[in-house]
Amino acid sequence: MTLSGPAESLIVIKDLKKWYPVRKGFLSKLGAKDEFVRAVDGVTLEIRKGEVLSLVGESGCGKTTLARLMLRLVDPTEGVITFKGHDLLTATKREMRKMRPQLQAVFQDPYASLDPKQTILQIISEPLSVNKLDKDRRETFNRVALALAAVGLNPPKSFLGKFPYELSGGQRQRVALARAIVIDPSLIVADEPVSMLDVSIRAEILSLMLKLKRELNLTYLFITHDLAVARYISDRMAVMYLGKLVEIGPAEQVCANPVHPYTKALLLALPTTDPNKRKVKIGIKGEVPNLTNIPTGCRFRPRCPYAFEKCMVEPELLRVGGDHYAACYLSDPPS
Amino acid sequence: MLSVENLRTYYRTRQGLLKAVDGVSFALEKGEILGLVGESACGKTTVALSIVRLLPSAAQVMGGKILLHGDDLLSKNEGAMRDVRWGKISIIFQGALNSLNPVLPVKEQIAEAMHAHGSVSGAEVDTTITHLFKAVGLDPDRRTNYPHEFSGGMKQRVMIAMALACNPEIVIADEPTTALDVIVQRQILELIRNLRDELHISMILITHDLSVVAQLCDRAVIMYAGRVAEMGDIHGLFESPMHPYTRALLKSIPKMEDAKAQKLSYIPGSVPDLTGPVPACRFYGRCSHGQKICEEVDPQLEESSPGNYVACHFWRQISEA
Repeated sequence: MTLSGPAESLIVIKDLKKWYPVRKGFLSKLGAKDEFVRAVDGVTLEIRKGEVLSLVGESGCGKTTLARLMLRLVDPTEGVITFKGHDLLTATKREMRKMRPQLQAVFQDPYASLDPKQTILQIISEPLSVNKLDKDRRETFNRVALALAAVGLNPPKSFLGKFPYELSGGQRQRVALARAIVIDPSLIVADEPVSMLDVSIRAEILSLMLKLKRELNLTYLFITHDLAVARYISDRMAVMYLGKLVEIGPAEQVCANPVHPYTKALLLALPTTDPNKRKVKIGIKGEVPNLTNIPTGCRFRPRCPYAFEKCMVEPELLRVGGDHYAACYLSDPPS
Repeated sequence: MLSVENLRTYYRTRQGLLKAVDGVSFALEKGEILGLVGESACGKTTVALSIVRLLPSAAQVMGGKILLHGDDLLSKNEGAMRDVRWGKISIIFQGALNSLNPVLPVKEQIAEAMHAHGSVSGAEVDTTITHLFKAVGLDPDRRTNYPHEFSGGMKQRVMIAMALACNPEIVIADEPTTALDVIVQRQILELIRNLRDELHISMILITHDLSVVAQLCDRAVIMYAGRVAEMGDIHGLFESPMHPYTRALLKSIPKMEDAKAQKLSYIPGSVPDLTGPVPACRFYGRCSHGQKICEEVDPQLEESSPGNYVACHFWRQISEA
């Protein structure tokens, strides 16, 4: 990262948990213990001002739930979230109204996230109207036009009256970005923003996101399952497994010198476009366990080729050098 | 063993005739894994559905031949086609994870396919299924389980077992690993390669993911807007791509090795509307090498090096540059 000195935190999360109760029939409830899907199970994390933090992990690891918690779309079971020093969870309605515009989101599916019956003008001005910032029609119009120009939909005027069906997938994702920036947010949570797009336009959206970040001093939480995309776009990378972080650090370090066996496996499994590098076996067996039945001790223990007695006790994130942390007792496991 | 010659499959739409596949030719050799690659709407799935003749009613094969051992599948009647499907060519559909019947044990579903293709005894079915389950890395004791009792990767293994049930010569797999996580994807790719080596089946792998092709295929056909842009062995395709589309596509994928140093480029514009008039070279308009001739004259597939073909008027200049 290019920041000098200790970077300012934008959002700080402490021991955040989100457990969803499992609904059961009346009879099976009798005498049984309540079951929970432990989607997010004790995550501590900070997002620093001006950085791109990517959150990677396989499906069901809790990365989207973590994003929804940060946007306060769902309430946590336990834990603390502070945004610019304000407690996001105990904030009053009035305080929340002030903070909400600063937290915006971009979702995965640009076909589902834009209302098909609204024009582009209505879609992009909605954050303004929801936050009662659309008193002056002329100004609203200008802000929307500026946002459209910023995301490269030129000339903006020609897009204002269009409907989503008239746009391609890449253009739709640009509209989604315009909707996120129109209200001058500080943090954008982007949940798999390029995974639904064709390969040839993914790079276009990624470079646009980096350009917007520079121009508008944005901070991103970038959620993806694609490690190559994460490495390309992010300053720091956090790897999640079964509701917990297993590794976090500068993206370059995490990818070049992964410490946690899970991160190593993810990197090894990644297919490359070089046919001469057909990879060897990865040594990880099985699949991600069910979230209602998380293994005791280290969550990765049953699949880990290096597991030993100590792993019966759940490891915490340990510093493995510089700004790089991993939740593994073997800070340098044999590879 | 299977050759597709000048296949044209069009869809009737409200906007007019959509030329989804417009003159596609390629051949599948025995024992190879052939990739059929391209972005959404390039016609790759339509090619597959044309081969097994399972096109939706709005689609129609307008011309061309699909020869299996010299026998044209397009001229077969429905009864004869039924013997070809599963028995000679089986297909694993996209979204296979949801294509198992949720209320039948998987064993019954595999047995159903086997009974439909010849009179086999219950005992034979059971031995075959046990054998298939072992081959795809599943515990044979789980053959009586229902689909919901399997994870995503295991369901994909069941689907592969099912595709192999009638000993086909050719398996067509449409995006078999797309819905899976990387680690599971890797396991399935390894399984497919091992099965090919052991059973000597031939495969057509349909995917949008070039890295999956690089990892698994022997040869690949790169499609763009209903046409073949380039085809050949994967070393040729990935190490010295000739078509501007293939070259641009490869440059737009972030690579793990030099993610930060890499300058990602992208392909401007979007795929032409295939219902309307389109330029002779479908890539014209998005191509940095495009000239007048590309708009007017169809580029033919030319052999750029032994076994490698490219459809571009300027491939010689591009390869020299």
